[in-house]
Amino acid sequence: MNTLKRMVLLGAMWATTAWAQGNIEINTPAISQIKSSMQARHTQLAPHYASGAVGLGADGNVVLRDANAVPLAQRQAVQGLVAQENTDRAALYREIARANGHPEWEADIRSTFAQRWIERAQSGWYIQSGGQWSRK
Amino acid sequence: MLAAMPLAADAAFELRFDRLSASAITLEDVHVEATALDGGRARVRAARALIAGRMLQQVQLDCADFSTLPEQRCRGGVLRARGYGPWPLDFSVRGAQRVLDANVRFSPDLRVTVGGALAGAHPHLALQAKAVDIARLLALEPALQSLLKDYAPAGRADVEAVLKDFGAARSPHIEARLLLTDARFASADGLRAAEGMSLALALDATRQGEDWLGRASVDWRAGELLWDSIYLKGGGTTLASDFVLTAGGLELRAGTLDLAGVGRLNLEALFARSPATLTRARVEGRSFDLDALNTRFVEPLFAARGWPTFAVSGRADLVAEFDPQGATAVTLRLADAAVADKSGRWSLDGVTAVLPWQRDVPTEPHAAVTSAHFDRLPFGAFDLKASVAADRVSLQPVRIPVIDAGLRLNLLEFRKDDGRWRGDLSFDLEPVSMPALSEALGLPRMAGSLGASVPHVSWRDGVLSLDGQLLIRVFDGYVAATGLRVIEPLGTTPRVLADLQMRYIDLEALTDTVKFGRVTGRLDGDVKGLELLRWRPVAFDAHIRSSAGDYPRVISQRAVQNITALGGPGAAAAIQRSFLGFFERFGYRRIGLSCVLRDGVCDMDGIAPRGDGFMLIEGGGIPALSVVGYNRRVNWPELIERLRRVTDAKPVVK
Repeated sequence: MNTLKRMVLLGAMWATTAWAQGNIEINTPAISQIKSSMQARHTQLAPHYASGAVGLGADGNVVLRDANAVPLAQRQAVQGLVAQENTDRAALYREIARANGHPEWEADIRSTFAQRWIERAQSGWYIQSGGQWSRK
Repeated sequence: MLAAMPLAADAAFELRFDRLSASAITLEDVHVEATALDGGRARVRAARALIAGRMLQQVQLDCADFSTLPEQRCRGGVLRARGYGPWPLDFSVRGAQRVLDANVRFSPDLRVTVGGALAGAHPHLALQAKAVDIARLLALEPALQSLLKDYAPAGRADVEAVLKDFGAARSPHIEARLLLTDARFASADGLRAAEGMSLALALDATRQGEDWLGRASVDWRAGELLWDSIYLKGGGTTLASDFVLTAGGLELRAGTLDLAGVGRLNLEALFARSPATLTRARVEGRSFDLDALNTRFVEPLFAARGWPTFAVSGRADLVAEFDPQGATAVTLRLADAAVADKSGRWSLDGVTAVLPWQRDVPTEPHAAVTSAHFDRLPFGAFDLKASVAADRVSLQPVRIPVIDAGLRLNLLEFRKDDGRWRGDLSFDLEPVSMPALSEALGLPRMAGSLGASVPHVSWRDGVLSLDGQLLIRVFDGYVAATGLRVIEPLGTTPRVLADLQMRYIDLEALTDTVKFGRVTGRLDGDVKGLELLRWRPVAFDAHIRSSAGDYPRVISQRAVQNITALGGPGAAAAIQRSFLGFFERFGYRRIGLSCVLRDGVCDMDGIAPRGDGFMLIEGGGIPALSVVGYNRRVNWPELIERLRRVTDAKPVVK
């Protein structure tokens, strides 16, 4: 149930807001494909956000910040999850920039998303600011 | 400061020595007080003690029962030194051989028993300790301790050691066996860690001058280990090596690392002692099982970086050299190897290759491939020669046989500019026979040949772009693609963008091939804004129509039925069934159809409006027949499914 709630919350992140320079909510088949790939992975990542093993980085990526919170035999798999998530996130930022017709906006879109992920993180999740980790 | 109180008022004698030396032990500024020589209390103090090269300050031994005659003995003793102890102990030294029997309790759970002969032709000492804290053991070797300080090592060790032939003018020899249980360590970030380790260590070493020479081995029996992205479970992995330990460092010679199920690595290495670093190393392995090597070491590294992983089989030889900065040279030799993607979509088989890499010098890897496939397309044998430098990788031109023709790779080059890799590609496909190609691809048999020329494709920031036009001759006409771009072909969402032009396609050849029902005539088409996502169409504006010009225009009854069926339940052909029954073929004036695909829906239109619908085929001649569609919005996956059904179906003529 908790997981379901988190998925709904993640879905809410796509709610309409206007981006200062472009449309961050723009949708294309590629973008919706990436979003569904990320949402499918979220159920696997959510327990690791809650345990503090994985945190939301200031750069719009997720970060394996404390692998000690994951049983040794599973750490390798979590590294893979984090890498896949960051690949999807990079693709998402790039696709949104492309869909806006401005590939050069990618870095701005990334930092806008970084803020949004952190703003909308659940309490108890780890977020990064100025190089420091804190618990929300 | 330790108290320098007199032993007791009843001390029978006091002795002072500036210096006392025995094998491996030197005491300075020694003060002995005892009540008697054959029993009673005693205290021995030394300002400094040098024991096996280690300096201790203010050493003090108190004995409740001390004697020097007939044997040297201390019962109920307590040993302490600055920063060490107090450690309860008992010992005795007897006879001409000076047979030592000692017990020291370093902590309630650490009791060390030492026995042996201190004098004679072959003096020896045996030491036994059970369940010693590993951290305490490591503290004995400062270089090892500093190397491991970030990893918080813990666990227990049983130690058995024998020291032989010690003393002046001898070469002492040590044999040690350590059994580590529940050993573990963890870096702060948890990415380098071990748990539940069971390790058996054996060490045999002889001192020669200032150095120790010998052999050491480690047998990893159980437990799990994570080192960055590589996770291994213990059992069957052993490391053994000759070594030379000098004041400056540790050299490993003729070392072997047996990796369970993978193979054996031979290794040589030199480590500096302070600071503890790898100075140089050479690792060599023969006839490795590539599958095991890939599964246990390569795949996890790739997966943790989000890179694609492959299935690999065959055997490999490996040589790698390292310096303090890391790997300097690696050469991998593959014999009868195979590489494939995980889904089996493509493979390279019978691969023999020499793949050298050097950090500072360009290299020229080469490979011979016996056969390959991509999807159902088979490729013949070919040789690849490459040139690899830090900022440039290029392939020499090569012809890869495909069916009865060849794919000529004229240029394949990647360069690093401003920290970003970019690539360029140019190839030609020699005309390949369509009957053979269609058979290989499992498609209906097609006539003619297919050739293509691609003068330049560039790779920039994850996008493959075609310069100019890709022209494919097919069905007596041609298909031209312009503005072709493939975005992130290896990424999560590979995307293809292109505009297509089809001209003068022979409909008879096409409809015979796809078993749609014969249509005679010529067709032009334009597909604008074609977008494939994960290789499936998600958007386009397509328009097909009869080509201009004078040619026979005939459509079969079956083709009419199939076109009607494509419209689904909502579609209807404006034809009289009774009338249709009399004729096999009909004349037509023109065919026209458009489909705008967005969000999985094809928005259809025809040549012109007709009543509530739109005309797809305008009849002409005798007997003439018009086909009208009424369903303008068609679900794309359904349309594809219907098309698949009608092209699979056997001809039915009513």
